[in-house]
Amino acid sequence: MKLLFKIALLLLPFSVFAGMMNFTVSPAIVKFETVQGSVKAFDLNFFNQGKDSLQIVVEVMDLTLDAHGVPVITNASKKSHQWARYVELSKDSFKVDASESKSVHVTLKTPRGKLGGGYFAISFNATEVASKKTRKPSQNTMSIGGQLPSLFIGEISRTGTRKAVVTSANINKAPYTSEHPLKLRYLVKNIGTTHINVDGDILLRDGKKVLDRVRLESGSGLILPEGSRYFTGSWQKANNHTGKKVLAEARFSYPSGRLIKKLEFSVP
Amino acid sequence: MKLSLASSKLALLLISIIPSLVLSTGEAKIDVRVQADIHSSMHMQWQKLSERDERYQQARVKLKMESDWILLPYGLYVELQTNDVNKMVALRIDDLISTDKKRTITKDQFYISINGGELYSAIEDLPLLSPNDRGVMKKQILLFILKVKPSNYAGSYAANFKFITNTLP
Repeated sequence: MKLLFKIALLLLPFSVFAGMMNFTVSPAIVKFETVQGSVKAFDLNFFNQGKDSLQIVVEVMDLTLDAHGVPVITNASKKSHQWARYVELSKDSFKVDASESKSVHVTLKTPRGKLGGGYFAISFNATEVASKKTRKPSQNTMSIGGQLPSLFIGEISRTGTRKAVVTSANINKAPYTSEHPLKLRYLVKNIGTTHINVDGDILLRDGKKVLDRVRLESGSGLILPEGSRYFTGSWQKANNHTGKKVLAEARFSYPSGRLIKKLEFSVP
Repeated sequence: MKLSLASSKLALLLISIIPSLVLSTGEAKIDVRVQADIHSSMHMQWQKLSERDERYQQARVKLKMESDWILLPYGLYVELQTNDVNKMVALRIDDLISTDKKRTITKDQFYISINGGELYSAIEDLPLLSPNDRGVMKKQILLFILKVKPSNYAGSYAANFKFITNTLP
């Protein structure tokens, strides 16, 4: 059975599996404010910088962020704060020749009765036109393409609430070295109704004495409603304080809000 | 009014004369202010590697395989580059579907090795270019490994590979 399977895989046609893409979509991120019931219009520009023509399929999709701040683009749904269903496109597929650009007109009919933030992504799925032409029907079993989205981060003006909580705090395992420093990691959850940009640092104390101050890293710190994001601080000088009982006071700030999370630990 | 007309004539005269005067004095330095918008760009290039390709073989010898796994007899050479610090690229592989569309090999049986290193499950998108790689032409050799189950049927299967480009907001 296995041998048979191997032979079959060897037969998979892969001969046209080569190509190149060089393209850009602008703007990559659109931040906007809107009002209930209004119509907002945006223009997106797709520029094919490559040498071959591209076939583009455009889709309106949901946008969320994972705990590392990386966009997760999924099929349009009716989940709260996902506005993909209110969006219309001027075209959903087109061909772009080399060194040519094309625009897509995006129309958002802002929903009534909604509060706070609204998010969606316009995804450009590109495949090479040239390689398709050279394929024989029997070889048409492999495909490779590129996906490049434009992210829309919106808010109905002055209707969103901003609130966050720290849902977990922990420290990585010893031993600590310069390559593997003591790291404090916090998970911050947005329990408000609109997006927030969170910033933070950690004050490390031994009793009343301040030992060090560490900046919390998490890119832009953007968290969408119902989403969570990791914030990590590296304490390079931990080995200078072995045996001490340390109080780590993580302080987070965002527009119209502050958060403090205390964590006590002994430096091994 | 006359004064302003005279002033504008003088200004036009000076604009036309100054470059010639600068050149005639032998000055080698002219300050020119240039303003340009640099757009974010993404370059991706790939090439199929046959089993005989030297790059495939170099990656293959580094690979640690288990006895019941199958290394597919082709790989993928990928070049990725971006000028944008907020861009990242990942590879997404869909389930393999037989060409008669009757059978599926789910992507949880599919693994990818970069340059013959550790294996990554195809269940999740595989990061190939991160914000730290800005400006670097990243060249990678991808090998594909399949863990065959007794329930799998032999045949020709279709696979879709997609480079997912994300902008970190």
